[in-house]
Formats: sequence, C-alpha cells, structure tokens
Amino acid sequence: MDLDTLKREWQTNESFKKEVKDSMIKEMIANRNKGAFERIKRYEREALRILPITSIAFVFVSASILMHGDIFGICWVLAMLPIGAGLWYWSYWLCGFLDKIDMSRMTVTEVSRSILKYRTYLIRHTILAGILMPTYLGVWLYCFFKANHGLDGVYSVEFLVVYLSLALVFFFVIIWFRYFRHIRDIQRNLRELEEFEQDNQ
Amino acid sequence: MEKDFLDMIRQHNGIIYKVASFYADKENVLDDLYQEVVLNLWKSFPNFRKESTYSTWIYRIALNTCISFFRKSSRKPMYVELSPDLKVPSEDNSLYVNELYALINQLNKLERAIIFLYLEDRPYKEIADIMGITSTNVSTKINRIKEKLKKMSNN
Repeated sequence: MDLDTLKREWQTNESFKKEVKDSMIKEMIANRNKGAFERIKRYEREALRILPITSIAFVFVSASILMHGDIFGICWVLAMLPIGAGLWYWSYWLCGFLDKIDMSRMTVTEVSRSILKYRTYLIRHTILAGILMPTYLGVWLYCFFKANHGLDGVYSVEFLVVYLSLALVFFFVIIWFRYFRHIRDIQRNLRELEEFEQDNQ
Repeated sequence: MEKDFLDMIRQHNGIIYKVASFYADKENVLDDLYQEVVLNLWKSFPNFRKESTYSTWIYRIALNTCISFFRKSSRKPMYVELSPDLKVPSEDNSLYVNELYALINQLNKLERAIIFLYLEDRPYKEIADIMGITSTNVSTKINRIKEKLKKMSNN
C-alpha cells in the first residue's frame, strides 16, 4: 500500500470535478442560520434571553413561600436570582468564547482545541446542573409544602427516600449514559491533539 | 458580493467536495459537511483580505469545519439535498484505492487532514500554516503516517 501511488491517482481523479448549480448554493446560504455551528451559538444566545425570565418567573411562582414561609424558605427562593445571574453570565461568556472561534483565521489545531474546550465546558456544566438543580428543587419542594400545607411532619422520611431514589435514577440514567461517554470521547480527542502537537517544539 | 462568492465556489467546488467526501463516513453526512463548509465560507467571505490565495483559505475553512463538525444522533432533516451527482465516487476507484481510503478512514481527524493536504500536493509550508505546526513536523508526521498505513495494511 503506497501513499505516493494514491497521490498520483488522486491527482488524476476526474470524479471530483463536479459542477454545482448556483441555485443550490443560493439555497444553502439562504439557510445560513441552520448550520451546526450557528445553531450552537443560537442556543447559547437564547439562554441569555430565557434565563432572566425563568429566574424571575420562578420567584413569582414561589410567592406562597415568600409570603408564608420561614426565613430559610425565603432565602432559598431568593437565591434563584443570583443563581440565574451566574448562569446568565456563564452563557454570556460562552457566547463570547464561541464568537472568537474563527475558522478562516485559526489553524486546524487551534480550532480543534477550542471546540474540545467548549464541549468540555458544556458537559461539566450539564453534569453540575444535573446534580445541583435536583438538590435545589428538592429543598424548594420542602419549603413549598411547609409554607402551604405545614406538612413538614409527613414530608420527611418517605418523601426523602422516594425523592433521592428518583434523583439517583435521573443521575445515572441520563447523566451517565449521555454525558460520561462524551467525556471519554473528548478525552480521547484531546490526547490525539496533544500527541499531534508533541513534536512541534 | 453574492456573485463573487458564487464564482469562487464554482471555481473551487472540487476542493470543497474533496474535503467533505474525505471526512464523510456515510453518504448523508457528505451533504451535511458540504453545506456546513459552504455556510462557513459564506460567513467568512466578507472578511477575506486576500492575505492568502482562495484555495488556501478554502482548505483552512473546509478542514476546520469537517474536523470540528459533530452531529447529534437525532439529526434534523437535510435542508438542501445535493444533486445525486455529488456523491462519493467510490464506484470509479480501483480496489487498491478503496482499500487505502478505508485505511485512511481509520486515522484520526488531524492525521487525515495532513494526508489530505499531502494528496493535494500542497507545499509543506502551506500545510504547516493550515495545521498550526512547523514544516519539519509536517514532514515527520507524513513519514509516520506512511509507516502507520503500511503496518495497518500488513495487519
């Protein structure tokens, strides 16, 4: 198997000389927002719009806790505002990070590294959210029941067991199968990139 | 600007198609990759300052696009279907060439990029610029990949 022979055949291969219709290219560029990379950037920008609205809406939904709950419940609900602000800033930072990826100016290794970084951030963020959000919502649920029904006596062992079981199922089924496999893939790609750049001294 | 862009695509369509087919592992991914490259070219076209030739600029964007492209398993339907003519030309190749393609497909994406540019007979300096490594490293890498392909074919 000789790469130089393939090179000669590659150079003379006429089948790559295909004509493309202008109408097809025009249709493609009319769909420019549907590109995979543009979609990713759009999702991050949408998060900038959605996060403030959902954080404030959540506080309104928790009105009963604010009105009838104890100081812990009130603080727990209001903590959603700085959490929302933190998440908003994180999305804002990610948007800036993605905007800096310029495929026309950066080298292949630079783009590869940036994309791998983005995927790593996304996965770590999602795994953290998968652990912290159920925890936050679990405590919120306790405050909600306590403020509305005074059920802190019933809302104890049985509910905790069911809630923790569901949270574990959520964690292992969704997070493990979906995201840990991606981490292994990213780590493999990162190793390949590092090996590739190894002799570049 | 659109007219200039269309002229450029028509002139260099072979490069885009070659890169996309080099990285496509299934027929329908070729359509995705081709369109993704065209979209990225269109996005960058207004900022092209002629610091390099069109072909170098296209190689860079096309390779960056194909290497960084990742589809979700539940992919959305294709928005523009390529003409039936623009498909991987495997029927035209000899068995030898197809076997070598199969081996090249087993290389990682970065090695494939170097091999692609080597097959395109690009100067080592240009390959180094596009890949972000030194010219000496390009030469070393190509020799290593040749050895790797030889070992893979013997196995």
